[in-house]
Amino acid sequence: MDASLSPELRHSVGVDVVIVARLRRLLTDNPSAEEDLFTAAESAYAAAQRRPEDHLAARFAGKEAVFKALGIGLLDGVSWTDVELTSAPDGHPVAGLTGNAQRCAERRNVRELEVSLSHSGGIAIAQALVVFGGAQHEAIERFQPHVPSRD
Amino acid sequence: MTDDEILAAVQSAVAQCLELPDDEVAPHATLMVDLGAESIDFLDILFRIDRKTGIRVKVSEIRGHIMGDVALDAFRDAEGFVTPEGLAQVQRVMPRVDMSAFQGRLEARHVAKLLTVQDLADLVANHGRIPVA
Repeated sequence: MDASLSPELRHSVGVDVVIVARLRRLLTDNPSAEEDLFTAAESAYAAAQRRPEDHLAARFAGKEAVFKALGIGLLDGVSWTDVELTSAPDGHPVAGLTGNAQRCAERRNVRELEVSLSHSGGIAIAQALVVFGGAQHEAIERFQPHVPSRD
Repeated sequence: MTDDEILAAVQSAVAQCLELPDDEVAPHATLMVDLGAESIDFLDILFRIDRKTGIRVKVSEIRGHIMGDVALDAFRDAEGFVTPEGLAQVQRVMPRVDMSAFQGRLEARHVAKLLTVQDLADLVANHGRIPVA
């Protein structure tokens, strides 16, 4: 949608970069960290790829980018698994929000949330765009996860 | 463990995680600003502290440590800035922070950047006595 169409709508962006080796070290040293960071659907998706850690790193960057775009952080009580990044049939990432992230999005009247992920040369990057405003009931319905989360 | 032993374990965990010399991880150093920790490092540091002390601090405990009994809506205003009540709470749990520098315009999402190595050691020492928000 074009946020410029309505003066009632505002937008915000967030970006994050993750060194794949940094995430690999965390998960190798602490295997249970994967459950703290990723939903079952995200882990399953990554495990089916040729380079799983590239995809996990991109998703971690995506979660951080979403937090930044939403303007939320530690004090909002969000956890990394509150943002689930799955893939649509055409391959583009789809963000689903649950828990406190979903509540924060509802409170801020989030209408649209788009995420772009990429990885190359051991680096993963993500950008998130959030559009705020409009009818609140529309916003809430958009953020149901497409697949059940680990929780 | 004594408080000194806990502080030493936390300093060691931070140094190993961030690949810093031990003497650079001073108690008053802020994890994110002074030492360059990122969010992924927080989780790594907490796992390392667990291995060294047997105490697993959850991320939610950090939130509970900072906010205490102050509800989120009272801690920050609608624009995301910490309220006077929130600033007083931050000053209570982080007395080393110069609150006058913020002039009442501290964004709630940046409060975690004020956490020092000593704050983390205090969290470990008080583990189990902090409400999990």
